[in-house]
Amino acid sequence: MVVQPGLVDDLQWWLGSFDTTFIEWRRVGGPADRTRAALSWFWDRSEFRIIREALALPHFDWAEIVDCLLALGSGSSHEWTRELWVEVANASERLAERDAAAAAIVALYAFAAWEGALGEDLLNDPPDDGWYIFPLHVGRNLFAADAVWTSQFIVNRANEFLEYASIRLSGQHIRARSIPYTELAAHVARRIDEYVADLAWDLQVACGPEIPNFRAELAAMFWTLGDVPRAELLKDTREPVYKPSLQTLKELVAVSISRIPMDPFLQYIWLELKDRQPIDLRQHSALFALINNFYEGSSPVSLFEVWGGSLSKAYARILIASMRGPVADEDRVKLREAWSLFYEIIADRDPLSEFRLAGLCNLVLTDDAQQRTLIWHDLTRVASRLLATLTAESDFTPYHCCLMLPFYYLEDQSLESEVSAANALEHHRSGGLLYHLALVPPRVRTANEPMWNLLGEEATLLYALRGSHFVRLIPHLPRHYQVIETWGLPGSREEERPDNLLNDETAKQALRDTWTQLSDLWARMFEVEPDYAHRRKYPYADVEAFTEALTTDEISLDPSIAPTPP
Amino acid sequence: MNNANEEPVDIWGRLDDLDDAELAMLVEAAASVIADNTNEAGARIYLEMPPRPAGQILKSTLADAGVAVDDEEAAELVRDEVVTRQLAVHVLRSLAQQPVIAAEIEVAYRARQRMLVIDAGVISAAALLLLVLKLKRVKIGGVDVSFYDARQSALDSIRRMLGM
Repeated sequence: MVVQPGLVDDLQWWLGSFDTTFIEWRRVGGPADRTRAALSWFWDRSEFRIIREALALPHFDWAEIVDCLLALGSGSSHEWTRELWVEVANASERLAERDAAAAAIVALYAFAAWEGALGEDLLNDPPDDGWYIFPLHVGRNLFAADAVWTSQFIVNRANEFLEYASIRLSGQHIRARSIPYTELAAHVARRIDEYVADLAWDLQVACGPEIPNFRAELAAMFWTLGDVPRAELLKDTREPVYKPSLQTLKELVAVSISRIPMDPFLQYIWLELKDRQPIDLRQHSALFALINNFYEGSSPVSLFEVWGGSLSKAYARILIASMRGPVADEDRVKLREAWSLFYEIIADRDPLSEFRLAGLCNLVLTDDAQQRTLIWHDLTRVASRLLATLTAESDFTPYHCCLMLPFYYLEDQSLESEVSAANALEHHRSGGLLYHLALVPPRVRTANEPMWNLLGEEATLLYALRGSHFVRLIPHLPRHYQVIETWGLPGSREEERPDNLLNDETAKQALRDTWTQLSDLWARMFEVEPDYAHRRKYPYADVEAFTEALTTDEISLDPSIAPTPP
Repeated sequence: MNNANEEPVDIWGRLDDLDDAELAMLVEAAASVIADNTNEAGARIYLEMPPRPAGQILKSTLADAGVAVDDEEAAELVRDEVVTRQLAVHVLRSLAQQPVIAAEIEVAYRARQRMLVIDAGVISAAALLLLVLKLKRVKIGGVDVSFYDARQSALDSIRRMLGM
């Protein structure tokens, strides 16, 4: 992949995809009359005549606006005098008082012209002075026009670049000049938090016992995210009904917003709220744009949407129905068909969707209680295996909670089943700690030369494991770490760096290789130090060992008895 | 940092000079004092009400008081940071005229200042505004505190801001 420095293309895509005012422009062809009037007024100013004539401004057609932005951004239009475009950018903020959307477009023209003029030098050190002018005006005007997502995008990009530049160049002055971006980022984040709170408030109102309500829909969302206890509470409609707290609902909305682009199952449950009482989802326009967007190719499941047979829609509707009560025969048939289709076409290419669909099938289609429990047990093993794999690959995406689904349904009516449930939970817990358990070797009780050599090999492999783990952690670390890997490296191009160890995919493969080597190494250790090798290979405790540890009279300070590492 | 022996700075005399975090904390303290000292059931709900529903209630409350605003104006009154700051200062200034409630708010504010962790970065004038507009009075330490002046002050500020 070539890392392009240009941002104009991304900006127009974000605008037309996620921010309501501009989605509407794209849909109907162009801006409303008020914005047209503001644009005409602005470009009529005599000081901007050269630009107006050269670019045939103002543009009232969305396609025309985008074409002009892309042409300016690529540097193929040469209507460039820096001073004039700075003047345009500065004047755009005054235009915002008249019409913020018009001001945003004007600032974008100036931004594109600046980017096009710099071309490949955009990311050079020290940062061009335009970094403190053009993206800032775009961000501010977009924020004023309530285009919070694109505003957040450009502010984050500028902040990332300047923050990394300040680290590279030890530049206090860069940090000081970046303060307006930090302030704007805080305003944008606060506005988004308000929107999340607004929707959470409405959802809480919609949780009441009065019909219509969204109790079943919310239960389905919690279930899909792995919070089955809350889903069960919402299913229960006996008075006094359970209502999630405002904070819980804010978290539900915030998690949904971050996950929807990669989780069509969750998205389609949200879409079931569209155009239905008791709340008007469209009124929450900023969030609605994200919920209602089509995320092409974001997940293997989204392929189904292209073929017209919406698996996600079937999942959402049947899950919601199951949260209301018994599912109709017709829906059971549809679910069977969806499962067959999924298994035939996608299967293990999307394990988390497969896992939840299997859970739903068990919930709805398995009539025999004993059989259903057995399947939940099977699914706990699948969940633990998936979690161990994701942990081993240092996948930090916060969606693993859905793997908790089957644990809620484990029977606890006998000691045997309680022990079995506890062991399943411990297995799952250890799976989530796989990396950390591997990193801390247990004490070696006896040692000999061959074992020392093997321990040396193990230390080297663990060092490699930590390095690759860190690379995969980067996207989840504070921003100044993230730019190391993304586009902040001046002139960096992936094609020029085939051995780029900071590449996420490279790190993922390196992790797989290292785990395989560790597994081989531990197998070799069985011949030399079986006790140690056993602890490494099987890091799981069981209820028996735990009970023994709790009931023993002796208190041991031997670290090898403490939480057993592998 | 304030020394424990230092004379506390007069908070009411420098309302215009408070930074956003200080003003947010004072607004939050004032709204809590009012909500905690009224017999009106459900007054505390305004403390956690987000801007959109607060704007809708404000719109109907203002209409009852003879101030007609549209949805956009109501949203501006609860979301716009410049507007909410001005409104908050006006309402606080009129509350400061009544020594009993001013003292109580100041105590609540000082207590919040001493807390190590408090999230008061956002000036949520909507809660304070709604409480002042909706409630006629509160009772603090056996003393009736009327909101008549504060209410009029808030309504006058809104009219001025909207050019009415």
